[in-house]
Amino acid sequence: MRKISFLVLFLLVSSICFASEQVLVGRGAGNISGGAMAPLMGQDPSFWQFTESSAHCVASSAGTLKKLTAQLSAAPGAGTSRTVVLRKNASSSSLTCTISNTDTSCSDTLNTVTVAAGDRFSIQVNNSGSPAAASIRYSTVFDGSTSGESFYCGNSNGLSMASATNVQFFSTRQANTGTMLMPTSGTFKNLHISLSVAPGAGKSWAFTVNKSGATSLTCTVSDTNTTCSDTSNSFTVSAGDEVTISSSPTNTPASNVPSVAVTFLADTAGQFVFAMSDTSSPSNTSTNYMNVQSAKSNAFSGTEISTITNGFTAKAIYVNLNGSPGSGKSYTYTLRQNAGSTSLSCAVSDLNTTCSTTTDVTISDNDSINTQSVPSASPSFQAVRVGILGFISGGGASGPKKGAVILTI
Amino acid sequence: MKKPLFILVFMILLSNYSFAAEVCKTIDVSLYSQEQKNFLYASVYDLIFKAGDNRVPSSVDTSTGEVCFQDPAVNLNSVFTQNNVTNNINALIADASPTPEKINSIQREHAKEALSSVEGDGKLLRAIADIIKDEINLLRQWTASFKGEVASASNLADLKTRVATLPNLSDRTLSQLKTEIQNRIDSGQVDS
Repeated sequence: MRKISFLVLFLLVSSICFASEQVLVGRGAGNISGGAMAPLMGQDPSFWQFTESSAHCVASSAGTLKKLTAQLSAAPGAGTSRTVVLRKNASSSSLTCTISNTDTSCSDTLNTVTVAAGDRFSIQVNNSGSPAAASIRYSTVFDGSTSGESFYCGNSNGLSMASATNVQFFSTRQANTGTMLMPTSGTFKNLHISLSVAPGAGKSWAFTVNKSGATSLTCTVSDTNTTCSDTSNSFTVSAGDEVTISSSPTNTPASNVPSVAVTFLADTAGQFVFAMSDTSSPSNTSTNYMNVQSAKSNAFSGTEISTITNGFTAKAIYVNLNGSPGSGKSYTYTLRQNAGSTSLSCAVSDLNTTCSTTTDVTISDNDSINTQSVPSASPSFQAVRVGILGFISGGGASGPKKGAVILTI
Repeated sequence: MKKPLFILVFMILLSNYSFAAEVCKTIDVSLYSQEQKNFLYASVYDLIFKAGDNRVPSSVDTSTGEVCFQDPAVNLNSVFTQNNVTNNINALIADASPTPEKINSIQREHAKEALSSVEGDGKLLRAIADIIKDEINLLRQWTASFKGEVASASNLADLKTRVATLPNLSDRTLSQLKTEIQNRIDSGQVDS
C-alpha cells in the first residue's frame, strides 16, 4: 500500500502574532492609608493619593495586565488585612489579592485585565481594621498584543503642573525630571496624554517627546478636552540615547496633574526597559541605593530600598552622568538582587560620563531589585540616568498561527 | 472473642486522632460589583476574627463566592450569613472612601512622615530646617549682643564704637545655601 504523505501548510489570513511581556514595578515609600491609590509603575510615591486623576497611569498599548504580586514591609496583624487591587478607568478590576494577619505578601496569578490604549490604571490598597503601618512594593506583568511592544507611563502623583516643564515618565512628585536612558534599540510611538483638568477655552498644553532635544512625538490638549494622542509619528532610538517628555502652556491653561504614556517597540521582541533618573547626585562618599524605575531628585538613599518584581532576565545596564567624576575618581552602578550585587555593573571613571555592561542575570518571581551607587575617591557630584534592559522570552502566543498537517494515505 | 476486643482497641485509638477538615460556605456574589467581590477575602477574615477565631481563609473564590477555612472553630453558617457578609463588605468599602476631614488628617500625617523620613526627601527637609535654625539663632545672638552694648554704653559715641565691634552679617547667596544644604546632608547630622 502506497503511503502518500501530504504536507499541507496553512497560511491564514491573519499573520502570526506572539505577544511580548513586560514587567512593571511600583513602590510606595510611606504608610498606606485605606483607599489610597498609587500609579501602576514608577516608584517612591511618598504621598498616596485619594483622587483617581492624581494617581492613574494611562496606557499607550493594547494587551492584558496580569500576575499582580504585592509585599508589605510589615504584616497587618491579627484581625486586620490590606487588599491590593488594580483599578481600571476608575473601577476596581478582578486583579486583586489580600494580605492578612501575619502574612506580608500576596499574589493573583489567575485573573487578567484587558488593556486598550487610553485606559487608565492605578493600584489601590484598601484596609480592613487598623493594620500595622507599612509601605508596599508591587509588580504586574503587561502582556502586549503586539510583539515587541512595551509602554511607559507616568503621573506627577498629585503635583500640579502650572508652567512649562519636563514631565516625568515615572511617577514622582517633582517636575523637571524623568529622562529615559535607553539600553537597547527600537522605536518610540503612540504618545497618550490624560489631564486631570481641561486647559480652558482658548488655552492649551502641548506635549512633546524629545530625543536629544529634537521633537519627535507631539500632541496638544486644548479648550475643554482632557486627552490627546499622537499615533501617527514615531522615531527610532539606539542604545545610549536619552528620551524626555516636555510640556508647554499657551494662554495660561488651568493647573493640572498630567498622566503621560508612550509605547516602545523594541527591535528584539521580548525586551523592555527599567529607567531611573535623578537630577541630583548620589553621595560621593557613601554607597547609595535607588529604585530601578523612578524619576526624582534626591531619591538616593543610604538605606537599601528596593522593589519586588516578577521574573525576567536582566541583560544590560547603561549609565549616563551629567559630567565626569574626575581624574582617578569614579561611580560604580550595579543592579542588586535580594540585597546582593549582580554581574550587571559598570563604572563611570575619570573624564568619562558613560558606561555600560551586557550580560545575562536571571531575576526570579518575588525577587527584590534596586540600583546601587558606590563612589571612589570622592568624585564630583553628578546627576545620573540609568537604563536597565529586561527580557522575557516567548511571551504568550496570541492570534492564529501557521500550522502544518501531515496526512498519510 | 478476639474480634470485638480488636474493634474496641481500634476505636479507642481512632478517637485519639483528629483529621484536618476544610469547611466551606458559599456566599451569593451574583449581585456583587467587582469592588464588592474584591473585598470578599478581607470581609470573611474580618468576620471570623470578630467571631473569636483568628484564621485566614484557606481559599476564596470571588467568582463563585465559595470561602473555605481549615478546621474553623466557629460555625461558618452562623458567621457568614448573606446579610453579615454584604453589610461588612459595604462597611469596608465605605471606610475606603475617606471624607475630606480624613484626607486632611492623612495628609498631615504624610507631612510629618516626610519630615521624619530617612530617605532623601526627609534629609533635605531637615537640612533646610537645620540651616534656618542656625541662621535665626545667629540673628538672636547678634540682637542680644546689640542689647548688651546698648545697656553698657555711656553715651552715643560710646555706643557707636561698641556696635562697630559687632560682626557684619552679609547676605547669603543661593549658591552658598545649596552648598550648605549638601554639606549638612553629607555630614550625617540630618540623617534622622
